[in-house]
Amino acid sequence: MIEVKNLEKTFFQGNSEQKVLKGISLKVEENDFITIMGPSGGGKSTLLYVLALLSEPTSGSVSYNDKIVNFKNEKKVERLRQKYIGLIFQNHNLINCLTALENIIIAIDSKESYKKKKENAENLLNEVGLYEKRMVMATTLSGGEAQRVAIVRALVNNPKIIFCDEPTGSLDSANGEKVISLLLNLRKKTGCALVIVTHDKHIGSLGEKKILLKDGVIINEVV
Amino acid sequence: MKWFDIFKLYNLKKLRSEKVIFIFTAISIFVTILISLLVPLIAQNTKEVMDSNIKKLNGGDLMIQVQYPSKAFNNELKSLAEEGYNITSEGLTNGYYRSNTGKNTVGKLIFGKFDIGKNEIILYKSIANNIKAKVGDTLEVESSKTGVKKYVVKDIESTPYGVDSNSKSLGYGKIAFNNDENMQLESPCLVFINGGDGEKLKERLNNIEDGYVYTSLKDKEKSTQREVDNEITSFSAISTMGYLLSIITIITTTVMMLLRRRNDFAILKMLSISGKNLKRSMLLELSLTIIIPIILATISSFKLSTVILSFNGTSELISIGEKFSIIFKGAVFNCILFFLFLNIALILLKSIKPLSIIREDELESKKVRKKMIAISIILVPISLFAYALYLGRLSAFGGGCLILLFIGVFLLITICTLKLLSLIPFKNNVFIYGFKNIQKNYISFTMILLSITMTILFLLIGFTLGKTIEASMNNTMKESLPYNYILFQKNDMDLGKTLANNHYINKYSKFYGISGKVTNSGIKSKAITINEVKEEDYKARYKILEGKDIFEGNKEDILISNKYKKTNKLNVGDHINVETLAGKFEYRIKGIYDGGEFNSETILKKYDGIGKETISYIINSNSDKWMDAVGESSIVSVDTLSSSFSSMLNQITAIFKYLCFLCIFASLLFNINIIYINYIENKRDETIIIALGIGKGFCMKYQLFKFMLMVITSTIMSFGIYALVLKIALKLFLDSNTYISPLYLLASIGISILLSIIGFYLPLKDLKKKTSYELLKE
Repeated sequence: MIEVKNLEKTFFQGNSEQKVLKGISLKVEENDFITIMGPSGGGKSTLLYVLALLSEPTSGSVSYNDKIVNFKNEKKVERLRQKYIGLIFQNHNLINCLTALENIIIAIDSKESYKKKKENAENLLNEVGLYEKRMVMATTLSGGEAQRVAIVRALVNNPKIIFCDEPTGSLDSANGEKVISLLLNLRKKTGCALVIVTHDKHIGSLGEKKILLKDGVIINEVV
Repeated sequence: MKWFDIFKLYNLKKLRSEKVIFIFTAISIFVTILISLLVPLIAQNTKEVMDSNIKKLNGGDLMIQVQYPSKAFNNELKSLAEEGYNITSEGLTNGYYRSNTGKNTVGKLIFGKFDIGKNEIILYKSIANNIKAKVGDTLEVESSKTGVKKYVVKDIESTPYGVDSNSKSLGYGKIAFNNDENMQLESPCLVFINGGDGEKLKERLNNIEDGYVYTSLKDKEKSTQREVDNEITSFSAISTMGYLLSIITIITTTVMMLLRRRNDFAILKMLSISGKNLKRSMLLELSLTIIIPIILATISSFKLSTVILSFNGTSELISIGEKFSIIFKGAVFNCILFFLFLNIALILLKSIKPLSIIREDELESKKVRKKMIAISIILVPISLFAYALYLGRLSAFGGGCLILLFIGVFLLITICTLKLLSLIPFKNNVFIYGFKNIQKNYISFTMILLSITMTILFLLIGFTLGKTIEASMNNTMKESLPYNYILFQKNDMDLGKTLANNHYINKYSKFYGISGKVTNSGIKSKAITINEVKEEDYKARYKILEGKDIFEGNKEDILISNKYKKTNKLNVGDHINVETLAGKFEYRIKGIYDGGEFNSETILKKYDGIGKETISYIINSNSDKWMDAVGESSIVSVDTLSSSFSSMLNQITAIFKYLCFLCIFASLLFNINIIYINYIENKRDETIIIALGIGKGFCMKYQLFKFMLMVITSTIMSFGIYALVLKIALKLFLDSNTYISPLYLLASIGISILLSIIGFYLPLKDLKKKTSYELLKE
């Protein structure tokens, strides 16, 4: 589905440059469950951002369904992201001025009527136990609730692949557990691929494919 | 660590990276301070011009407007002359001015012992502006006293010296009295008495003749004081607006900077650097946005006041010492004011605790924000009061309060509108997000809206008020009056046949007039003209608003104008006593006619042969080609009254216009600053939207939605307020309907679009750039 070849990413600051990813090649297939672990500054999040088409690699290629992604065509990249990719961040990144329900409706990519979109979003919220909180503003949701809304938002367009950047990083263990089990259940139900960047060894061990990243290089890949 | 070290290590670096916002804030404060310094300089100069010329302005210790003949008054004047008082008089008539460029206008013509040649004329600025005449130009003046004669412009008076209020508002020309031409000094005229106490003289003469208008030096002082006050009130409206924009700018800029640096401050506090030291270093950093503008505005105002006064044609009487003193006081005042508000904004620093790195205490920061808003709301009127004290005029506070009241109503309307709009179940994501976002940033959105609205409103007042009033008066007169020209017949001519046979004239009426005095004690307007008309000559007929027409009912009864009725609270059936050279008469009012603003002190009645002083015609014609046939008789077009009025307004609003330009500049900077700050604050949300693949197009649409909302609302508000205030004012003061050119509406939309485009330029440009998703990691 997504394949990266010889991926390099360098950040330039003034005259200095920092190579964060050094020639990474990786493939994410349908229904894969990949966990990426590694020490801080190893390039995990950067790799995830490139895979999620949020960041353009300095060199190397990213292809989706065997077609090389042209990062210069922003509109096409946006379209790809909306149609095939779901994103979950450590900080839930909900839009503060909207309610839980509106945060989901705004992300729906379909020509359906507003009523239909609303019903769809309400059903999804019901599935994660947040139907009662649908009209609550994003700012007043607890960390766990906000992250569950973010998960629903990521799934609302039936993406082929979900990228999670430390999804439990800002949650307590109980809420973290809930979020992970929710993600795994949804993956089972929808058949989407799941890529999680994490520090948590337990979550890391759950992956069907485990990648260890250090200094911008994959040093271990266990299937 | 000492606060100055923090400043060197931290603040200076931040200052460099945030220089754009710093520069915009500083320029915004500069413009406001500049306006606030120019207002007292210009006002003080106006006051000095008035004060130093008060006797010249009044023409003498006592000025009397003689509107009808009075033997008793003439006898008293003779006695005064015998007592040694210096008595002079100037004749007053209507004049028709034509320049050699073809421009023409109507105004008053004053003839007296002026120190000019017999072929020279002194023009008032409004007349000179109307016909585009300058010193040395030759122009043609036509009046019932002089006939048609050519004069060379000797001087142009920008301040009206020794004239009545009518001449001041209509404009005038002064020519030398010439015995050779056999001009008689008769009513109406102006009499000036010198060599005594004006107040006592006024009392003495008022006991003899109470129908004339007496103006002593004390009265003149009072009226000039009122004029200066009115000038200051209008200017202070602009400076209040400037202050509000700058205060909001400095508070929002400071708050935004503190929020952006929240983590840094939390860390610094964690490192045991005291809040006091952090506040001091921040204060020093932000004080640059105040100190530099104060220095620049101080220097600029010194020269700019001279430039504005010279553009306005006013001589600069204010001394350098006085100027320095006003500017110095103003600089100190502005310094205190802006530092006060800067300190209020820095209260937010208290809410930043070391723990804020992990989690912000929202309750605490909400509390602090509420405190900041409350203190600011209390301090704004206090500051305006202090500014009025600095100006030395409490009327300035009145102008400021008016603006504050307007803003209060404005905020109320926008709150209600937003509340109502939020009830609409929008089904489009752009609308949903747009409205929610506006609600979230309600204060800043409303303030930008207010700034655009006020800018358009000031521009409409400064640049279109005169024309709008002129058009309104013209259209109202066209609707209400049966004529559009008045013709004053020369004594030796009979124009009846000429007019009757002229096919360019639709209809006309001929009147025989005599001036007189109303002797009823309850009637304020003593001077009147009785216009008699024969039935066969009454073809252009006045609209009757109440009662009967001239030849209906009792033929001895009279008609008065609607304006005269209102001014003197008269009704159909009332009686008035009139004294003329032809005798004393008692008349019963049988009807009220619509005379508009023209000759409202004219009584209409059937011809009895007492009207022997003047013969005039009211003429309805769509062309001016008939004019050649009437020889040297003078003609007044009704629209010249409105153009004189408009010219007077243009003169009043001249300095207002210059200050308006500065206000536009302040408003522009404010909009750019606040819209950009808003954009930065909402950047995280927009980054999320783009990251989710909803797209930049959505963000663009949402910005355009805000843009459109801003344009539509500001145009409706500004144009609506302009139209509403004019409608009320014109009805109340001129009894006129309001006609506003649709072009002004288009201009308002254009200005609103332009101001909004400039304001939204930076966010839209930034949106087009490649998105950085680093914000999502924070």
